[in-house]
Amino acid sequence: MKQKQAWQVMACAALAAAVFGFGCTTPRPPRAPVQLDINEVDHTPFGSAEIKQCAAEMGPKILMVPEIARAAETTRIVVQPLRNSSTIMMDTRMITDALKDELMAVSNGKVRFVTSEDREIAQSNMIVREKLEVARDRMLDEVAESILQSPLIANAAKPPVIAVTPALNANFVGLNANSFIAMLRAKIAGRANGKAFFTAPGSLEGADYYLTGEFIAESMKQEGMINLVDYIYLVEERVKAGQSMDVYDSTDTTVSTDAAGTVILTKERRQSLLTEIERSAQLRVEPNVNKFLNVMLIKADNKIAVMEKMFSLDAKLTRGLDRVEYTLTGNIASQSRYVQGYEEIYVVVTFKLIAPETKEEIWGGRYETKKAIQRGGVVY
Amino acid sequence: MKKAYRHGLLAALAAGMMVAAGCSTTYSVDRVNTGGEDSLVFVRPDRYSLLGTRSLRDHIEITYETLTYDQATGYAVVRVGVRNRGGQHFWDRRGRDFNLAAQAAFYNQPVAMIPPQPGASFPSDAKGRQEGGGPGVSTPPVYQAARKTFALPRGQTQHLEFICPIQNVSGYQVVFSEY
Repeated sequence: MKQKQAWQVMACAALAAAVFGFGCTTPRPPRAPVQLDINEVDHTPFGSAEIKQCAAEMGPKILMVPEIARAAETTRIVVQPLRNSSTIMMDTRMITDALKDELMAVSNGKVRFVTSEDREIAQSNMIVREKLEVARDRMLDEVAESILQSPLIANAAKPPVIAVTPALNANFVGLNANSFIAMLRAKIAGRANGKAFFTAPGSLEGADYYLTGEFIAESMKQEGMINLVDYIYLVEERVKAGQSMDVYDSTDTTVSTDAAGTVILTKERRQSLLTEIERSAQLRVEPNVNKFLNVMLIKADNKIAVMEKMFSLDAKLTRGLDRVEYTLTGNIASQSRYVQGYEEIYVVVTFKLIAPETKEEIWGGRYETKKAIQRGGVVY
Repeated sequence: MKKAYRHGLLAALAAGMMVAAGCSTTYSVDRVNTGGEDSLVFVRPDRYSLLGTRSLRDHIEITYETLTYDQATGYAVVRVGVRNRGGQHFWDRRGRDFNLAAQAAFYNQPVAMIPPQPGASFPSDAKGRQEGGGPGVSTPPVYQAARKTFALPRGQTQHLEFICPIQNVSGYQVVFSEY
């Protein structure tokens, strides 16, 4: 009996040791990842193999389109994402990106793509802006140098006195008009070495020349107003002179006056006008146009511009679509049949190149595949 | 005794050599001379049967093979007709359907013996094979098309087209395999 109990105790001890031992087992590390062949056809409806095949087939065909093959210069294409009318849940950019890669790799510069991604365009425009700012500073140096090198200054019997006057059309939104002229003055003064002198800011006393400028915008749109104080003064002067409050109105129609003959421009009306200007969308949105500053040196006595120099202040920021010759777009469609856990799927990817001016489809390509793929679990 | 001693010494030497060989860090790899390879090749079959092989050559034949150059671009265009002729042996008269993959690689020098002339196509021989004996593949390809996969049921012909979007290629090789 005792022997039997001893056996039972030993068995329990062995079992406990085994359980304890299992508890101490170090968990197995995961299997090493396996690199798969991206060219292998798999159970994805439109997988890596199909994407690569599609790009490899369509790429050379696009390059053989006569309009592109015979083009003397680089053809620029913008890609519009494919429309996905298939049952496949996928990012169609995988297809167009593969096609772009293929074309970029083999076209040898014959084809270029213009991005249509807002994020990339914004980043590009930011770089352009920074470059313009650097160029603007450099340009001020050049203008200052050219003014000092002009015969009027360089060959003058005595150092001319220059007065700075506010720039004309100083009403661009987002640009501090007079700061450019002030910067130019500082640049000239820094290099003058006694060749020229400036009057005190705001004084025209004893000046031989006026340094001023005119802002020019490449736009057909009416310019916004930024110098609100000047604008109000202008409005008041027009009103006092019996003209309309619209500074762009040249009809000179009289405005109504009260019984004493005083012009009716009440404090409230003045305030509402101010608010109207402040709220104007035209004022708050910087006009996206090419902006230039024409610097002028004007002779004080006869008001003749003896020297002019125009430089670019700001360039119109575009999406780069002006040089695009074709739009590449298309569609992906599919048709499925389910048979005993398999899905037979027929996928068609169509591409087309569209000329924006004529809306003509200059080329159409088609890649199609049909395969049976095993579906695990619930089939939707 | 002396003989036994000698045998023991030799055995120890052999064992030492084997151990030394096993400790080697690097080994040479096999290199193949592709001279004489055809412009169209089937790779070794992946399945063997009791009678013969199930090689692609037993079932697949080439109906035509042309190389032309696009006039506008100068791109090489290889067109190949691949036909599944079914079983050709008494033990396999039926044959089977194939899922094939074909991949073309283009070279600056000819692979097969006869270099193709620009603008000309050269026909296959009666057996659908290019004449062998060419220099083979000795340089990397200037362009390799993506692997093209297709189904080839018995009796059907697949017309394949490979375009090389790089100019001045004069050689190519298309490799067929099952997948």
